[in-house]
Amino acid sequence: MDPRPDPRHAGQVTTPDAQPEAVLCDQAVFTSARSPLGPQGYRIIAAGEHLSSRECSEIVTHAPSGDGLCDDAPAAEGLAFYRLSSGRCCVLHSRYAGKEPSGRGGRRTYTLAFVLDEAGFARFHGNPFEVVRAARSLGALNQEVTTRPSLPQLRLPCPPRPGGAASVDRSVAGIGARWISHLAGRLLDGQTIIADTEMDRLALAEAVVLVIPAPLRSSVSLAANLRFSVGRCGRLTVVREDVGRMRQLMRGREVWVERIGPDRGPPAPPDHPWAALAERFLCRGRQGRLLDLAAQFGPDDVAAIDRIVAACIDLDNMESASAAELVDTAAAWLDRRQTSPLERKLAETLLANVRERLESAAGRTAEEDLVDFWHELLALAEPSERAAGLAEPALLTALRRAARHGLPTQVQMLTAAARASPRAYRRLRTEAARVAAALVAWADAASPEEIAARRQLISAWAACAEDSALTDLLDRMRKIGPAVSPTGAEPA
Amino acid sequence: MAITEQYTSSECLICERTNPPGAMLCSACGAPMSLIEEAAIQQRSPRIITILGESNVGKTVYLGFLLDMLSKRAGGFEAIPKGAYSVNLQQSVISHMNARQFPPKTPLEVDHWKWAYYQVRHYDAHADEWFDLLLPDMAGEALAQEIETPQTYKAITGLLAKSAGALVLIDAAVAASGSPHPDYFALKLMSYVDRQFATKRGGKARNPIAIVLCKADYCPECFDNPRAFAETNLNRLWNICQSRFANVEFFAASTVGSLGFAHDEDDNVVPVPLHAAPRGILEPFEWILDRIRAMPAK
Repeated sequence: MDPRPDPRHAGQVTTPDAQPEAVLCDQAVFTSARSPLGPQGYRIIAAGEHLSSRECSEIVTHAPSGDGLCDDAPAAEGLAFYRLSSGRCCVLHSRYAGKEPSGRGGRRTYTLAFVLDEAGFARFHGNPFEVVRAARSLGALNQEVTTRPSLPQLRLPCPPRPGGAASVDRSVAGIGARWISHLAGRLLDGQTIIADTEMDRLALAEAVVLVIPAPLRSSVSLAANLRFSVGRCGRLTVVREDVGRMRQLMRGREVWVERIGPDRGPPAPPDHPWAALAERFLCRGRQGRLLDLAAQFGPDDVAAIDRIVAACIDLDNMESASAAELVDTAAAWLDRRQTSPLERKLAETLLANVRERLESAAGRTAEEDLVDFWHELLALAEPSERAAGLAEPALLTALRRAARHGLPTQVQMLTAAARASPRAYRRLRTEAARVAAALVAWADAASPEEIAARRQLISAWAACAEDSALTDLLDRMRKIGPAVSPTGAEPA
Repeated sequence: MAITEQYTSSECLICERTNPPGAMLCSACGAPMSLIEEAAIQQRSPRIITILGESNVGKTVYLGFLLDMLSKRAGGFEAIPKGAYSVNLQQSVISHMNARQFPPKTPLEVDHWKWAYYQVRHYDAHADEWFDLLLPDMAGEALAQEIETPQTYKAITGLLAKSAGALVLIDAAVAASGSPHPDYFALKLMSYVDRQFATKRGGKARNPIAIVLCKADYCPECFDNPRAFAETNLNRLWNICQSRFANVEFFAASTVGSLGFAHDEDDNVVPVPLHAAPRGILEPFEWILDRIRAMPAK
């Protein structure tokens, strides 16, 4: 049986439970090979049978030829990523492989091309460095392919979680969070970047890619640690070259060419909101959270990036937010209509967080501020059942705390609830019944003077709350003292 | 039409793409925009002579020696390089050969190619006539890829479309050894050139093409009768030339007097040019220049 998969289904490999765990990719080898009587020089010496001639020619124009890396080290590596005109994604991995075989000096560059479709690339979280890591795990990077007609498809294992955190850590330590977010911001603004740096160029390129939301990554063609060439200049080029020469070559094009590094001083803060958020997270050592968020983006979330950033900032601010700020945040997010899945998810997390924190705040708020907080909660709860549900735990906690001050305070709070927010009051019915029962018990033991003193308070509550226990209590009070008007006002 | 009107300052000389003012390289084909600036200064349309050949056939060495001989007024030529960039190629070739090394391989990337813009005239009956010649040194691998998949390298497509003539270099030494590879490559190449030079009526291409049989010092009979050598050892090439090209001639050339061989640490054979003895370098150029001169101006 032919072990090769059906080329019509080239792309994802699925297990019986439909969980993709590997991606099929075509491969090609571009290097210089000498044959005494045959073709000479750099060419594709071996390629997968599903690669078209147009795809092969595009690999040739993007792959580096002799002495093709910026780095002199024998173990140096370079990486390029770009979209082929066929729509497939191409990742090139280059390294040195001995001397130029024609004997004309220089080192031979050996480039492996991995070509996979968009869905397959997305399985690597849109990170070309993940594709190379997967190939490395199979030992594919170290094999020296000699001329042969066809290469088999590679079954690349998909990473269970987004990787590359080490590159981000190394880049933050080496160049600082500001540079990374600055570069990401420029890319998100649609600019083309050529960065000259002495630091680890592959790590920096990966860090910048990872900061970008996953669905946008496949549009960022890149070349890292490859000798600079105008034809290879994608959206992101990280090289070690003379900036003046590169500026000259790119003259007349809208390209940002700059030498970057810790010795250059920090650049301007990024304008793009996502890049600004990235800087905030990187500066606070929350790389993991940032990479998780960037990886969670789906295609429908890109349009909502500003609102997603706002949700992330609100979530981030929550730890230090005051009770009033929490109420404001909750009110803002309850009003907002979420349009994308990630925004919805973040809003839900945020509101769940607010609910929890409001409840906690209700337990911590200073006694003298409790009534004010109660009124803020009532204002939050009234607009919708969802809002009332959000405020409910905090309302209950606040009401129970008020028991320390005695029944009159609780009655005042419940009266306020019944007046300001019927929705909130409905959710406090059980607690209200408990307070009413306590009132009845109190009335049984109270003197007529005491009852008279509390009559106005109770009648005000009874006037706005439909509670049989309260009605009965008021009837008893009428027998004890003067009649109370239905509105709760004392007779003149 | 004056050259200044014909070529605006931002239109590429090779592919005619309009580039933003100040651009150094054409954004479409990668050719240097300084070429058009030179053309505008000279007020003459440059004649492009394209040097074609497979990787390792010796295009860079041939072109380097040719330009060096022209600038030394060999063969009654007077040549003036326009811009320092025009001298870089010959300087690199001669320096390396003096150090008994072949020059490095020409990179595939178009922006790494060397271009030479020369004003040339020949001391003969037409002594007053100056030609502006544009001679690019392209990578053989790029040409091979372009032949296999046309339009891969727009610079090559554009160059041939604009070429007044072409020098096609073939490895005579390999052909003489019995390998069919140079013949097949030449056949593909000439088929490609035919498509670029073809007239609308399907007639033979009239642009002069000099077939230069390189490394002819390995097969001295090549010098005696290049046509017979080609007909015998490069028969497919010979036939397509007869069928499709009206203006074609065969020449033998060599640059290296004697060659030694060494091994590098990877056990690759390293050819060592012990001394340079250029032979037959100028003749193809002289022939092609005469033919271009004889062609009616476009």
